[in-house]
Amino acid sequence: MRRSDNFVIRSALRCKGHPMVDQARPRKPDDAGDWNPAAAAAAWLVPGLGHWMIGLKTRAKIIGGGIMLLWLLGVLIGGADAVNVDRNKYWFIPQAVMAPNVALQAAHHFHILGEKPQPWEEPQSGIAYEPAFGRPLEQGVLFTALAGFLNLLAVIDVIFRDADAPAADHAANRQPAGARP
Amino acid sequence: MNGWINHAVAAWTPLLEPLAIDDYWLMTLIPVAIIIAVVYKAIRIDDLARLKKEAAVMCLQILTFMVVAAVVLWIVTESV
Repeated sequence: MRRSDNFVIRSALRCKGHPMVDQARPRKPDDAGDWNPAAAAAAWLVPGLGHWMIGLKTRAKIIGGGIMLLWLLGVLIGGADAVNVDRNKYWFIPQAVMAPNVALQAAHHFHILGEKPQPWEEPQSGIAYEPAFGRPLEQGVLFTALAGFLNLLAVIDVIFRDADAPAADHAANRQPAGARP
Repeated sequence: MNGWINHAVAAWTPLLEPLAIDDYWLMTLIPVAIIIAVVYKAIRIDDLARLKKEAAVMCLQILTFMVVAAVVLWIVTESV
């Protein structure tokens, strides 16, 4: 059973005030808790970095490379408009689960990027970009949001990875918890 | 094939202009399915030696479901 399953069950029992919860797993003095918050924050900042920090380097390269490739495809197809909270307010919720999307939105917010004005409009500040419409906008928004959803899975996985058990990317390299090297 | 590439990227500035994929947007769903399958399986499975096989199976499942969903929705929209 994964440690995350134990956490869910113990949390549910704790909410009901079950007397057996605290007796089942006495807390050790050096027990830092069930979570890896620093690795989770790193996973939000750079996709794949959280898994790298907990020792799963091969997995980190695959996860980080895949998520960033999906994000890059979205930004190339949709342009700078793929991440724009003014045009797609609710799509920004999944997009915000990875920092590159937040950085792109910040570029809009602080006028580092500005929509190319119409001929009768005054020029705006910032690097002018062509707004997207139709299929390119749809695909750009979808790809960047999917990258955010996948990063959410990665962050949740990093949070609940058992920090006590030795981490290994392949079953052959994994040793039982507590085994001497 | 060359005509499609020329049409899509002629005088195109990455990030500052969207890509002209209006006629070819369905093709973008294939790399999406592949990437989602690979990343999801890389997160979920314990042994990465099984990654290629499991990701391929999941990719086929995603693409099959997309086709089935498209057919069902087409039938629904045509019959209403």
